[in-house]
Amino acid sequence: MAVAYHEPMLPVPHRVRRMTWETDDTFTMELVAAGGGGITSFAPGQFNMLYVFGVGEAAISMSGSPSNPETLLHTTRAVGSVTKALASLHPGQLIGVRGPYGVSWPVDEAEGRDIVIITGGIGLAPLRPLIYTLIEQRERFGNITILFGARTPDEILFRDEIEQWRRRFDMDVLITVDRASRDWRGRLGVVTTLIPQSPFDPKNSIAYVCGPEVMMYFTLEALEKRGMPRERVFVSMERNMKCGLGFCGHCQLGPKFVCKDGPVFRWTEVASLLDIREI
Amino acid sequence: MQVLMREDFDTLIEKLQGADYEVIAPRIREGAIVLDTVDSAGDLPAGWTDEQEGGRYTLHRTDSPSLFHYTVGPTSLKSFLYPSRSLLCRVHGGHNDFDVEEPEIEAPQRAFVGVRACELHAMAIQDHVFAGGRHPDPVYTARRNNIFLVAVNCSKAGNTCFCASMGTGPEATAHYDLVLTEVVEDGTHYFLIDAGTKAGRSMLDELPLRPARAAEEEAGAAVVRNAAGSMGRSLDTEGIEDVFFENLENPLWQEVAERCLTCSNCTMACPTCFCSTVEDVSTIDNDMAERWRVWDSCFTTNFSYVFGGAIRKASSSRYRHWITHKLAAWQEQFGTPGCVGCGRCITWCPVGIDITEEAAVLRRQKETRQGEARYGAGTRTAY
Amino acid sequence: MEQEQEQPIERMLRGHDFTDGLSDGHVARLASMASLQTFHADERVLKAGERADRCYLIQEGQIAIEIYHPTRGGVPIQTLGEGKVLGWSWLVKPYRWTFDAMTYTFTRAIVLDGVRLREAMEADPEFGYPLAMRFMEVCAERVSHSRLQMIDMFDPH
Repeated sequence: MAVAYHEPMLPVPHRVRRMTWETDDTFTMELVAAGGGGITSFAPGQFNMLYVFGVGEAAISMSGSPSNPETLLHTTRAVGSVTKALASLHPGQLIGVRGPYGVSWPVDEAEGRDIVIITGGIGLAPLRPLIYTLIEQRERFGNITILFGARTPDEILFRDEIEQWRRRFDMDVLITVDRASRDWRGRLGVVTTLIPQSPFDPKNSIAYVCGPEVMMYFTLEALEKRGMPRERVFVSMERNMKCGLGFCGHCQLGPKFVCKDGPVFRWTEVASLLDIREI
Repeated sequence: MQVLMREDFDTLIEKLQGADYEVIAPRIREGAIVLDTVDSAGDLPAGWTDEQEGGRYTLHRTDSPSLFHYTVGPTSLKSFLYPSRSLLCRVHGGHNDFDVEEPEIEAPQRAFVGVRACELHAMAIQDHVFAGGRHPDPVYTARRNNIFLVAVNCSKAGNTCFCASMGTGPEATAHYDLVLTEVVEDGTHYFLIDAGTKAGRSMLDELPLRPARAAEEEAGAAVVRNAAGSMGRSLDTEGIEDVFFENLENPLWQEVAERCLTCSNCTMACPTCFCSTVEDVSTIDNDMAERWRVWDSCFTTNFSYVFGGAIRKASSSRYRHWITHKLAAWQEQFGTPGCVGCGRCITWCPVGIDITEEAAVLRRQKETRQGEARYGAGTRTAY
Repeated sequence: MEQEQEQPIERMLRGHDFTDGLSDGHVARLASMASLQTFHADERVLKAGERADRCYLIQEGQIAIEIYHPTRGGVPIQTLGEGKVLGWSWLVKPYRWTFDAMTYTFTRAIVLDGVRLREAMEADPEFGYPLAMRFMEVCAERVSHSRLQMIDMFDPH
């Protein structure tokens, strides 16, 4: 007997509409479903599995606006075999998409609170849909602060957009880089140095954190030092994923499946695990 | 309960074949009793038994004519319901244009004869993994829906068996269509038989049976009691999640790692281990690409690879991950333990690493610590 | 009850993160060794090797700590802004600055007299200990931030 219901692992063909290079190694891909069956909605922080013909799949967060899901954007760094293959594609070519998967950043929980977003490098990409959502619903929240760290000034992601956010009067955007020459007149130092002086009230705030694990670890420490309760801190974790569905086992972080229990976790869910090496 | 005489056992196989089932039963292949296709009851390993120990498996001839007097071999239902390789899709074209072809899922009608209680529980555990979530796995569910299960209660327990500890055997209590208990005594050889499903009851109607006498039922019960009382291993599951989650950092992991070859045998032999990876292959002129799901193991370095390197580089981390997943994390993930006490990981480990022994070491350390805390001992001997 | 008139510099000191949790008496005593200073952008604040005799509690602006490199010139390492403390070499021998510091922007800071402060801290441990611990925290934070910069965490390789 043959049965045909293979959907969960089947890539849906999407055409590359635009490739935008954000930095030397980071690009944004705009995709359109080639023959229908595209994604009709997603929540900030969710990801898709992107398939490159003959090469394989990688889990990549959506970086566009959830209010405009038909413009499907993914921003990623060309560092692995799949993302390098993605980087070599041109407008008009095809990739496979399946998703959206994963737990999103909780927006309702931020209602009436100050918001602090702490991120670095490519970590800004999975947070951009959240930032769009927060701006759209601005009146629901208290102060909004974005703390962003990059390796060098050239590696600042979404530079023009960050400039626009900086010019808004209803949010604070602080940027720092790890290394720069004197030409860079901004802050120099790791992103955690921005936490102590940021304008949020730790007693009534929510934090969204995404970046390299080392960065998140020290960010959480600095937030705790400022008196932020652990249960109002959310982090997005990264692990190897082959399926995105909870079958392949690769993304386990202790008892958690990053693909379906995450990638966004409340810090209290993963704090004890992050203290264990090679978990 | 009814009785099927040994001489009528062949009828069971024939009736299953007549109902268009491919019959899979234990038979000897390459020095081990494995599940494989049989043509008739004559293919079963009558008069053979196995002897298992950590890192050792041997077969012996016995004087008994019994068909099922051995425990589980290296293969399990897993390889039939969740094949070690399955084609996910075939993609025709190239970067400029492609079509995704959905492969037809091979889900043959199969009847498994001689399936053990631990095996059925392992299948129920995999049901949670593959069919219990938001995205049921099509390969697994299609295959799972096309099987007929004839269980057999174990008449012996192996030296590496501990199903009694896990509450999964030796008596089959669920998940079967038919269940057999083999009785060989005083020159008689028969099977007590009962049905667990409607399909099983229909099959009973086709067989030459007679009602069981009280003495026969008692003889069957004694067979199971005997197996239950002769488990070679045991594992204390009381509060086992804490035993592991409180010991994620423990010198034991390094100690085991000095023996562990990270060969993945335990995960391949395990009837519940489900991890997989995807292999991408393409034709030489690159106009067709395939995606294959293949079994993977958390004992490989690549398993935990993220940009820049593997998370679990040390074999100690990989062993810790495996045993903690099996005995503790699984409970949070799927609501059951991931271990059925079949003992395969002990038998088929080339160096005989013993899941029950390592769990016991951790538990003893935890109890020693609690003892010290109670009596206010000044030093910590373990952490 | 009649209250002693609070000096403006005392109020500014209390407004700086550095004095969080210090007693009023200790803040008043710090105020007696404090003055205010402003800098334009691109002014040198400290020069490596020179006598270290002061400390800056930054109220506004950005100051870069730099290492002078013979061919590359001043290489900025970290910047310090509002709420941060610049300079602790006045507290440890041989009382010489180890790095340069340059302003990036207009900067306002409270300056503490390092020599008097050191002497007061030595003479009165009850005053000196909480301050020494605060400077210790500044050093610890600076070291851990430098270490995080060193590992180049945004580099995926």
